[in-house]
Amino acid sequence: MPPFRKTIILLIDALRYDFALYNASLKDDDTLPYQNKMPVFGEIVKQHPHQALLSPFMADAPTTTMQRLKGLTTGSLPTFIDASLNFASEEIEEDNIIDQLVRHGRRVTILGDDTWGGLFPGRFSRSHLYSSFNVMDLHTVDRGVLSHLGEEMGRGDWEVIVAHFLGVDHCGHRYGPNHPQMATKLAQMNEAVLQVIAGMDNDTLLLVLGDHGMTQTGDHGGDSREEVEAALFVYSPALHLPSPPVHTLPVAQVDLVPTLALSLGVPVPFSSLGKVMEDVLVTAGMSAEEAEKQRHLGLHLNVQQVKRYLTAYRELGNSYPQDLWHKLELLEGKALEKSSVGGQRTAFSEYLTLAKLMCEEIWARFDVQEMLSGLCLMLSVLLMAGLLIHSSALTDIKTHIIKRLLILTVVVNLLFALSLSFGFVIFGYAANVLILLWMYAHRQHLTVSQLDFKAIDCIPLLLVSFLLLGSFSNSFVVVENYVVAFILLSCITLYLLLLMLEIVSKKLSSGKMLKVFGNAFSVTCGTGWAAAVVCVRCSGWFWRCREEQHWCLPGQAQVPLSGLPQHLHNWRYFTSVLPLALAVWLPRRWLLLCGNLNGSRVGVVLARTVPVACSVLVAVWWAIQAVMAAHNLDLWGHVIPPRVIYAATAVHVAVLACVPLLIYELPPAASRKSQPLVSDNPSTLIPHLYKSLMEKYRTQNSKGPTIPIVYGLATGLSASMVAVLMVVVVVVVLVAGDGLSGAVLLLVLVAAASLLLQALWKLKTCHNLKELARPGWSAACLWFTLSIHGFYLTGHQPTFPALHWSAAFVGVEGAQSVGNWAPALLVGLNTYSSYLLLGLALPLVVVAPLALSVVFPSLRGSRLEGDEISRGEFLLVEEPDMLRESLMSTALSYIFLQAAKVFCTSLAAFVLRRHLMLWKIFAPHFIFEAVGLIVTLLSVLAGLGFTLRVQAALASWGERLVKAA
Amino acid sequence: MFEQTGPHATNLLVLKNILCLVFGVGVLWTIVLSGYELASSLYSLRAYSLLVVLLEGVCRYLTPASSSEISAIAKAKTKKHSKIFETFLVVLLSVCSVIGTHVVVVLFGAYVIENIEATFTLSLLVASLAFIRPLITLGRSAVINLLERQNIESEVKSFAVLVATWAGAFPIPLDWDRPWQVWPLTCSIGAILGELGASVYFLSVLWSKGGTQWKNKARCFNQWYGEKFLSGQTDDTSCEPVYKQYQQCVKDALKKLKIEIPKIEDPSADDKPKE
Repeated sequence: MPPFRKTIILLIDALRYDFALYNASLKDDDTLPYQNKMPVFGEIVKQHPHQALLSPFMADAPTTTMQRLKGLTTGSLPTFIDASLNFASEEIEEDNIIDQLVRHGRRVTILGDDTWGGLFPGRFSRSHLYSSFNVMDLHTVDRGVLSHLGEEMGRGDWEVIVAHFLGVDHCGHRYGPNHPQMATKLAQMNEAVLQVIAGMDNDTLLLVLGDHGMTQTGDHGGDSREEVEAALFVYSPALHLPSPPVHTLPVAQVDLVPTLALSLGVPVPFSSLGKVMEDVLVTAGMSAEEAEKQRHLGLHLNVQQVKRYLTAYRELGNSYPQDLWHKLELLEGKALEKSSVGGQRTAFSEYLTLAKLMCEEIWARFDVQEMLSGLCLMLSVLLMAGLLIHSSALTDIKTHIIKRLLILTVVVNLLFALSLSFGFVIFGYAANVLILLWMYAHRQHLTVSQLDFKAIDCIPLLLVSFLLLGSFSNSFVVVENYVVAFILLSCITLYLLLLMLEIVSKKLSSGKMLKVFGNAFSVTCGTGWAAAVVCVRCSGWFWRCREEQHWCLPGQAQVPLSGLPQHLHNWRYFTSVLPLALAVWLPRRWLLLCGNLNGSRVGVVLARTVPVACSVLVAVWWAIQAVMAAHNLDLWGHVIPPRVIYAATAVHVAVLACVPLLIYELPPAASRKSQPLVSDNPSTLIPHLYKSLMEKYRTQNSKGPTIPIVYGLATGLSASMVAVLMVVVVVVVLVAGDGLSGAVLLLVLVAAASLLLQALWKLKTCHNLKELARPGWSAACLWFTLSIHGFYLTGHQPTFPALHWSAAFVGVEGAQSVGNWAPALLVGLNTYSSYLLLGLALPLVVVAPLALSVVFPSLRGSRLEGDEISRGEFLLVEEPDMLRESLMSTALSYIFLQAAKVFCTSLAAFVLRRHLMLWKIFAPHFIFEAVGLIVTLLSVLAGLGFTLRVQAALASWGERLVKAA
Repeated sequence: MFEQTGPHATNLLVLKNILCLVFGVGVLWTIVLSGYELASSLYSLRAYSLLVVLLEGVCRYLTPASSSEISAIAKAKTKKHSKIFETFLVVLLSVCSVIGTHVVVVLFGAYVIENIEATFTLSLLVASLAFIRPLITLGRSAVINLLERQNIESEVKSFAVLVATWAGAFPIPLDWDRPWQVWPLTCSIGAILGELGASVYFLSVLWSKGGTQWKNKARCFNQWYGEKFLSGQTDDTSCEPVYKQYQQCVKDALKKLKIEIPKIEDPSADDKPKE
């Protein structure tokens, strides 16, 4: 005879333990919005100490709702990587409590979150499910549940009711716990619990529980105390608990399954690892002896079930740690020997605890062989990339080598996939050997031709290697945002110092300060340095605190506009829109200065309008969000503006990829007349400069009397790139949210200042175009450090609680319509925005010196031949091989550094796999870096492809012009 | 500096560097003895900065203002201004350098308001070691002179101090919870260690370049004096090659140290044995 006939489970999503605690010593005025709002638990426990129990309910990370539901119904431990499946609710195929209930004729009614419908299709006798995907919506699910709960409880056709409330969780996501809305929501939940208690029968068990907690910003997913400590409240009039202990002991979430199964009289699910809460099995009607027997029986059943599972798992060919398994067998024997019931019970308890511990340990098992093979493969690929960068293979790229390289890539990947899918590590090593053999076979192409490392290359490499070595120290990983900023500042300052040395050495022995540092070049250097340094220093405003940074106070930038108090709304809106406007206006100003926004080519028209229109739309969308925060959002206002922006961006990028030229040819007939017009505007130097270029053409074929005047030709390569980047920046700001638009602006500014310094250095030191177009390691190091700095600058940390889940809902409403890839993609875009932007912008590093020397001729170094250089980027258009080579070497260096970072983080995770902080620090760090590398690879490829496309278009345009002349 | 009155200026330079060493070791010792207690460490750091600046000032005062260290143009300019104006300018630039260092330290990540006393102490230390001393020795165009590498002592010292201070930031994040990891002690200790290292290096350069040749010459002279002069031969040509080598070496060293020498007089035969 089971202790209870019926059970009601109220699952309040994200009900943290301290939400449910009642602290009588707090005055009403002093309470935070989430404190003391659910007095019902405290009151009931006080009134019926033997019938009710409130305790912390410890979740296992990852604390995402989907993972928790799986854990709560199957009773098994989660695996680390499962978190990614949160967006894809899949049917549970393991044995679970719902199946057991249904199989034994219990009828289950479900109300609330529709995740349940996806997990257990067709199991429920009655259901009222509501879409859970729109986190902005606080009320639909809860109102739906509340409107049906009373009615369903009144019906007689159920044994179990599960009601899943989502409002608290959504309120956390939207406003965070410290918001008046949270108080309202918790009060509503309090009311609901009261009503259920009032309507309960005597033989019904009520469980109120949270599946996870939330951080101070209202997010969850990680393993911080705030996230794993949910609340569990047990109450039944029939219950008879022993007198309450002084300290309420925490209950593990896996313990729910055996407790629920045994109290309802169904078998415990096969893979459950929980330990039954034996006190809950005792009802008031039992005598002390019966109660003891009941507890013993419960534990005994539980032990048998766990043993069955462990044995089955072992028979599948898995092994347990020898000592633990031996200890377990000993314990089991001891339990059977023991004559006293009490002694047996202690042994059972110990058995269950130990079994869970053992499983926790082996679930986190490391396959050292596979890890080693992967690390070796990475190392040899890094070696190959390093050789390629410095070898002669780059200087004259031969197609057959490229072809063989591609074949090698395919074969290596195939081998590795084989090793993964069949578990033969030997294939991994074979791939490794193959790469080494390939390198040996092509050694004449891979010989390092010239290694000329100068101070400007060596010191940044040294700095970056500090950064990479920091991956092995948990304290450096924890404060990596500070370390990266420091290294970046050092790199930038190094540029300034070397530039100053260069300037002084050229003007030997002129002792006067003003004479040496008073010219335009020096002033630009100083300004660029100051701007970069100040921007890097200001990035502290946008940093997110990770759990281990106990000194760190969370900034307001992480809180969305709707979560801020009312009096800050205008200020926040202004400080969000201004950076956005600047981030669009500054590149636009640059393009105007270069003369790339003249005329009526399709690309030009788009570049003039789309970024501006998109940014206006973003500002409007923010306003809509803020104004409508109080109301339940209208679908149109919520979804349409972002979607329009996405569409416009796609069109913009696609059109620019097809017709990438942002130049304007003056009609030949009008050219003579318009010449004075050109000189009216001194800022557009390009026509004048181009005139000299065309002079050459005219002398070659003297029959053409007219000089074509073309605007923006000297910056033709970079202009299209800038036009694409402008609109990508707008999308990044949109996805980053209003609080972080300043961060994106800072990122753009630091990148621009770095480009400036790099270009100035090149212009000062280079003798010819070949050197000028080859940025070298220093630029790659700067760009690499900047990309990591950008990751932190945009409010991220390499930990799972720090992911910006709110980005998943920008322009997406409801999971069904778009599938699961769109939210995942948006969160990825938010997280890796800096990798994306800097990867795309990498070709600018190559062309920046040329563009700068044309637009600001006063910055041109004296070492360069003046006449040639005035043709700007068109020089590279005419030398496609040189362009390809320098793009290739820059991209390879940049990717090399990123891959080296991944290698270091994975090596750290491998070496320190027994470290206390592995799951908190090293493993997430590795995962974030690895995904970042993939983003980098894709974006660098896209950037290179686009640049080559622009080059081809410009070259064919030039040919046509020559032919026409 | 030591070309006019030779041994006097060189001795002064050596003395100054030895004093620098003593001061540096002394302040490190004080800090360690106090158990890295912040308030007293900051006090001793500030005292050390002042002491170092004073030492430099005294040395500058004792060295005749021949200003070979200042380039020719700067020298010409100096004459136009009065000495007081020059001094005032140096003081002003020194104050500016302290403020500038403070700003840079803050830009590199120090707190703006919190720990401002500690940050300022560090700036004072770094500025006095790396900027104020060259300003005193080289005059107001010190920055340019440093970048032009005209004075090896100031250059090596400023560079070493700056780099060592920068490197001193690296132990801060480690979670060892040692008392010396407190801001700004690591950077300050780094700065002092840099200064000590540079002083030792400079002394060793002075010693090795002058020293070995001098020893050779002394040995030869002793030999000559004992074997020949005392037995009545006054012909001193036997030591001529060694002496020439010595002379050449001194010239090279001075050149390497970028110390201008107006002219080295040909030594008369009489001086040599007397030396």
